[in-house]
Amino acid sequence: MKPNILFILAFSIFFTACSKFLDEVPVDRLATENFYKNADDARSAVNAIYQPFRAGIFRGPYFLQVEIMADYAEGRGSTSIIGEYKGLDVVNITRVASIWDGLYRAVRNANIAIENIPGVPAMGEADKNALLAEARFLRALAYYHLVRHWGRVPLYLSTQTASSPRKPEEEVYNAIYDDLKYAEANLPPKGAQYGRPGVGAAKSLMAEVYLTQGKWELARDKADEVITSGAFSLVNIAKADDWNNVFGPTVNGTPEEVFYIKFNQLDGWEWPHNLLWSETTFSPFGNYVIYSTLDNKFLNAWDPQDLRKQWDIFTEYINRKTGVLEQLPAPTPVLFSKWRDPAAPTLTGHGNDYPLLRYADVLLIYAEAAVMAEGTPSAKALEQLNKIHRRAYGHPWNAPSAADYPATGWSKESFRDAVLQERAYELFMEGKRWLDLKRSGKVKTVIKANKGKDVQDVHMYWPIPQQEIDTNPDISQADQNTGY
Amino acid sequence: MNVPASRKWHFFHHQMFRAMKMTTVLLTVFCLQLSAAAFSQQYSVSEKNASLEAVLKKISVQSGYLFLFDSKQMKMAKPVTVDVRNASLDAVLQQCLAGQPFTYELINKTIVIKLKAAPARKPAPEAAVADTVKGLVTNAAGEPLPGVSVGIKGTAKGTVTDVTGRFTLRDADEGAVLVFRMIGFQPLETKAAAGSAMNIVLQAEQSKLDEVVVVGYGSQKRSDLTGSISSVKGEQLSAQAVRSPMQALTGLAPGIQVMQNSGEPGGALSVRVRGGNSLIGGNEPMYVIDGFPVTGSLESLNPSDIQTIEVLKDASATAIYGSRGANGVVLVTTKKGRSGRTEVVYDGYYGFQQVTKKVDMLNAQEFAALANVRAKNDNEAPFFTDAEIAAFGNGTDWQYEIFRTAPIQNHSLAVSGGNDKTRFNISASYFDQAGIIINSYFNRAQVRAAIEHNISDKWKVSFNNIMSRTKSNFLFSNNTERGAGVLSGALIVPPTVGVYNADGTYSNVRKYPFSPDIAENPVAMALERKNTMARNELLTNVFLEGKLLPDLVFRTSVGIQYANSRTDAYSPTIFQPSAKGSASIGYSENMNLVNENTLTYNKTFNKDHSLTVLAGLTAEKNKTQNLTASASGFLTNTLENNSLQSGSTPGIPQSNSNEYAILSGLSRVNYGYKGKYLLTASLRADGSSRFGKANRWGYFPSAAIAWRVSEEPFWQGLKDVVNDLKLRGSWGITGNTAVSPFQSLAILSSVQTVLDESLYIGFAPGTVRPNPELKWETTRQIDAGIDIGLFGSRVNVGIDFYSKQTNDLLSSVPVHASTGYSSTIRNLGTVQNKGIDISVQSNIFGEGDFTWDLGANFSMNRNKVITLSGGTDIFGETLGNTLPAMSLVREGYPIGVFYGYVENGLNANGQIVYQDLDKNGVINGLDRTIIGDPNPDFIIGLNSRMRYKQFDLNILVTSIQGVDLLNYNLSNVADGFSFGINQMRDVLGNYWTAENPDPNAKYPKISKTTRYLGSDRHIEDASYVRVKNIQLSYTLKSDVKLIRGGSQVYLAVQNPFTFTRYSFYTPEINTRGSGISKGIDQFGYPDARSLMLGLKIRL
Repeated sequence: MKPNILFILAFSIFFTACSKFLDEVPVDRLATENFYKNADDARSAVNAIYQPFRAGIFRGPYFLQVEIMADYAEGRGSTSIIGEYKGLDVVNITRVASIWDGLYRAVRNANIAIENIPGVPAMGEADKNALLAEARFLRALAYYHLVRHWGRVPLYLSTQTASSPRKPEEEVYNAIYDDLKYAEANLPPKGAQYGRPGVGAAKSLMAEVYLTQGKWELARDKADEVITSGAFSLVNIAKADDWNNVFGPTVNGTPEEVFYIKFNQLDGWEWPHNLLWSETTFSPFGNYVIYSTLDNKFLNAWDPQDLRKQWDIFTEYINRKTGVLEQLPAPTPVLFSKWRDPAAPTLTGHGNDYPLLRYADVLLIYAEAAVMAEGTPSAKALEQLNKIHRRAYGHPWNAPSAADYPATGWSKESFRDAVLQERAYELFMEGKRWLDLKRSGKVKTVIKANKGKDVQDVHMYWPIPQQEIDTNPDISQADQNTGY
Repeated sequence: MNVPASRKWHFFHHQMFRAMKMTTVLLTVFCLQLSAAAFSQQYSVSEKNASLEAVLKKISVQSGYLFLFDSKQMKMAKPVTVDVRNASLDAVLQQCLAGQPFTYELINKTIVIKLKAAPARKPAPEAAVADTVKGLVTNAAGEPLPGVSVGIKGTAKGTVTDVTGRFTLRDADEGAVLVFRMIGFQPLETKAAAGSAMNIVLQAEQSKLDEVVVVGYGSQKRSDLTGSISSVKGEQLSAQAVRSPMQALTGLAPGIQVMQNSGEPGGALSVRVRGGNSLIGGNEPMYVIDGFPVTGSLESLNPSDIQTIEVLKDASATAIYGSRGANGVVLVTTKKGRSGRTEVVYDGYYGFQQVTKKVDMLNAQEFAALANVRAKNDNEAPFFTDAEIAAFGNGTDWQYEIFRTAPIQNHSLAVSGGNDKTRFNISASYFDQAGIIINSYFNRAQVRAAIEHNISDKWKVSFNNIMSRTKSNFLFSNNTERGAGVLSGALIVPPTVGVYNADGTYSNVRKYPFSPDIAENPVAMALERKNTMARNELLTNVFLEGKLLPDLVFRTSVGIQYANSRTDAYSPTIFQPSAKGSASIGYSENMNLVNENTLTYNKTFNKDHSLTVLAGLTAEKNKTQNLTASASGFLTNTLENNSLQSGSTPGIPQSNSNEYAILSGLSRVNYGYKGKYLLTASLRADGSSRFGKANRWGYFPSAAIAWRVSEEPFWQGLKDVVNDLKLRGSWGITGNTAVSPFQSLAILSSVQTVLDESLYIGFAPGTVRPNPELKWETTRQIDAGIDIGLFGSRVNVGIDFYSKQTNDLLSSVPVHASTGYSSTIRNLGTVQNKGIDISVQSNIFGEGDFTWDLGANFSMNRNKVITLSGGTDIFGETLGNTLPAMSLVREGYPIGVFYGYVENGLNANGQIVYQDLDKNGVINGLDRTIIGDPNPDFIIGLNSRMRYKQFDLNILVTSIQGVDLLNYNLSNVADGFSFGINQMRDVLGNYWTAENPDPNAKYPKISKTTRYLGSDRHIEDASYVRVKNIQLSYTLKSDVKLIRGGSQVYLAVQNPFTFTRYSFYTPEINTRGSGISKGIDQFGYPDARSLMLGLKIRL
């Protein structure tokens, strides 16, 4: 009997000895308490802001939503309803909800970085401020996209905010300006890597935000600061294939690169496959979700001599298997070839970067803002427009050419229209056209003229995701955008 | 139903008097422990004209001796008048039997009353003498059985075995069939063998009440149970063509709902015991195999290896499993060896399966014509010319292309036997199921050993080991849409396109501008994509059990459950999304270590007070590790995923590691007074590493009482009708640790981004907001039950009423995404499950050549959310692109009700009109309401077993009533052609047209602008009655040459008939599995009808 009792006692002792038996130590994740201790931690907190930005938004679904609404594209299959301008259906409501989620996740990651970096020990103030500026630049970028597509949106500038109602657009814009001003003051002249913002990026984005709000002088001056800084220039184009030096999959750090969302084949871009077709030599993949028609007035008016048109769209192609020149199938007679990566390993693996802020954009911002501020196009404004235009016809960008616009005969409106049209050609398939039409108040007339469709009011804003309404105590169904 | 007196049999004992019926007229007695009380040596009996039976009874009561007699012969007895005082037993009996045709013999404590020797017969002919058959009848343990009736089949001739178990039968013809019968044993038929002595072994047949039932950390006689437990015998499971034993449980036990997520071979099951308590997936019961708690389910078990399954339902039964008992506990006992002759059993079947139903879709001409209707409605040029349409004909029947008649087979071979010291049961089995969709399969090979050894009189060791390997190929089918998966592809891709191009390559199914952009060729998806999983699992445990004191048993066990699994995926170059091949390999390992130690004290005091006390300590540690590697950009398909380095682009490897531990103390007391008043109380303390330090320990008490009313003296008069009546009541608390490890901690995970051309790593929280305040989810359950045995347990009825309340419900709750998180885990409220379980088992015809057992189970569960913190609704997961989340948890309603819009016909443009429920003139989220309930009103199971001679017909019928399904498929295949995908033929003639603008048309206008929201259109009544299994078997009653009696050949049909109004393949589907989003059919793999030929050979 006694040995048996000892046996049981031994078990009890075994358990007492294992008092740490129930302590949980995750070995494959980091706990918040042990993080934000040095410069590497701080930098990785900032790196984390990029991920939701890229993954759920600018990798693919964002462009489906904004480019099918442009006056030169149609959507196939489930995206076709986007191009009907009657509001979104349930499929596309789900898609824009994922964009909302991603943008706010970027905001959250930015807020976490902004709150934790000041307390990081053993790190210089200047280094901290540079990282804070990077985080605030990205937060501004997120809100800039939110406010334009949803209008009034919740505003979180701290992780301590548990919930937020839809704030007036002006309040959101003010937060954007605050962040960008801080970024402008504290960012390094040039980001440590391409893909990180430098001062030029902050100024360029600020110029675009001013332009969006019609603050013409401010937009003009900010764009001018970028131009006169001399940090950027255009790449010369002699023939259509030279665009590969601007948009190609392996290009990194062209003089035009102000702030790009960076992709490589390992962590690549999904968007191009929505444009292409796997039989072509442009990419081994292709979903050709976006296409255009042979009677599209925008495309038909586009001068075939424009090297951008030659690079950007196609109706026939060389079959990658047979080598034979073939016509695109009748249902999708026009497809878009601006983003090409013949070596893309997967459909989400295109190496091209997404040029969120390109120097060409800055030049055109100057041109438009200047004429709107000044009433007539100045020589300087005209020159910015010409830089873009002459390059598109194969001329050196910084010398007058035969392709230049006439120096006279402009009204404020006609010049602005010319700039907007130039933007449409130059920034084709870069997600800018719909927003340009929207901010300039030309959506309804232009869409009607080029596509023959009436844009209903409901289509002007995306719906607040139902989950947000259902779970945010500060937003009720009555706060939903009109028409949803 | 009263039993004629002549058919009763009796035995008398000084403490007991029992009346039971028997099929033979022979009276027998089987071992009863005699009390050690001293017998008086002197007896006094005084009776006048009493029946001999009554007198013998009195003597039995006085003496403690057992009497053994034939009640038929007893009719020959004359009335007895006797008056003896203080006489010896011998003298008393002499007096009683004076003048009677009886004599008696005393053997041990049994007095056998028998007829006096008959007058000498005529001398038998020589040949007849040669036909004398002799033999010995024993039980399985080799002990001789006296009083066994030995009859010659088809004649009235027969005899009884003597005290030494021996019998001699004259006049038995060579080859005559002898029938051996004894109460408490299974009858046995065998051919007479003249000359040598026959050795007959009778197998014990336990009566329902004496049956031993496995309970948590022990076992009990059924009559002593205080809790609610359903038992299912292995033989009821093994005859069904199913992979997992749990699949076969449907309809066999009340209170249990077994849902297959889909019909895919190897697909997951969800099992609900008395409804679901929990919201975040922790609704599966706990599984315990031979006392060993396993993680996961019973996938590695072959149904024919199972002796019994016990399902513990109420808290009194499950609370001993504490933190994991809230969803019921399934105890599996595998077959063990028995001492005696070694037995070899082959058990197997081979059969074929086919899809139960096809969905009627448009053919090519109809599809093209409808596409043109759409083009016309959208003011577009027709997609097809009349000539093209005429040339299409029927086109491709894609369902025909993917479905097939698929074989299914199972073979197992078991060897069992042993001696007094060591018993063993070793088996090997192989199950192979080809799916009814091409290229899907599941197979399992398994070996098992159970060895038990008596080290000494006091100590016993046992070893159980199950090793299994399963392999399956899963198709991308469930929960896809618009042609991205095999089944959705087969339904939606254009029938105008062939499977292959002229050159033999797969055709492009996105041929038209209206074709969905994610559709793939379904045949290519099924055949060319590889998605296999191979899993090896080892379940091994060792028990040591010993008597420390005569009444104190110590038991310790160590168990290891180790599993590794490897998934292999390859998507070849033919697909649009991967025109270059992409490949991945995933590897995961899980190790679960369990140590359990218990002490059981079992003693009866003063004959009336029985006490069992259990105390124990257990510890469990579980670790999971995963690793995934991938690559893409393969130029050739030859290597598939076997050489990841051959891909031009390596993927980023992923790994993770999870760990948890549970430490517990447990105790239980069972007390019984005279076997009438029964009490059980238990307490378990569990510490779980998954919770924050402050909330780490949980305590789970339970108590139960039972009263066996039928054992009361006042009930004795009713015993002919109600032979058993027990009232039970229980209360208890159980828990649920259904939270992934580390969810209470604020954890940062790595994410990556690209800068320059390189990857950079960032750290940020995930999308689940951490909650350090998580605590145990506890379920309080009360149960009131009644067990009734009627007409000598010929009809058994069990009724249980229960009410379960789950507090601190753990749930994944969506949060407003503007915070940057999408969900969080919270303890958020209270859910109630109330219901009734009824089971009736009856033996309608119990005797003769034809017998019929009929059983019925009925369960009703009402689930209701009592409170939610903050009263806020919780939504289910987003399902796909064509319908939003439609599952809802709302106070006052059952979990997972469907939430959406209510339709109100069509408008003048043929578009669906939704009811403006809040009457504000706008249709928005506020107009949604509850439009369906996936929780069934009733679950009914019927099982019938009819035997005629050696033929045996088993029928199992299940029915679920009052249940809704969200038929997600309709948002694809009946969507007004808005996505340009093929439609159900039902759409033809039922859609709105400008020519006939019927506001009540079933389907809206055929147009790409046709919109719909998640509405009552997608909710269907999925009540059904299904004949689940019909099995006809022929059983060999006696040994034939090498083959032993009990060998069997059978024909079985699984799912032959289903009666339902549900419009898609099968109402038995639940593609999202557990959680809030239940009752959803999103292109679920359909289930099969199968026909099998089976064989069971005992050697």
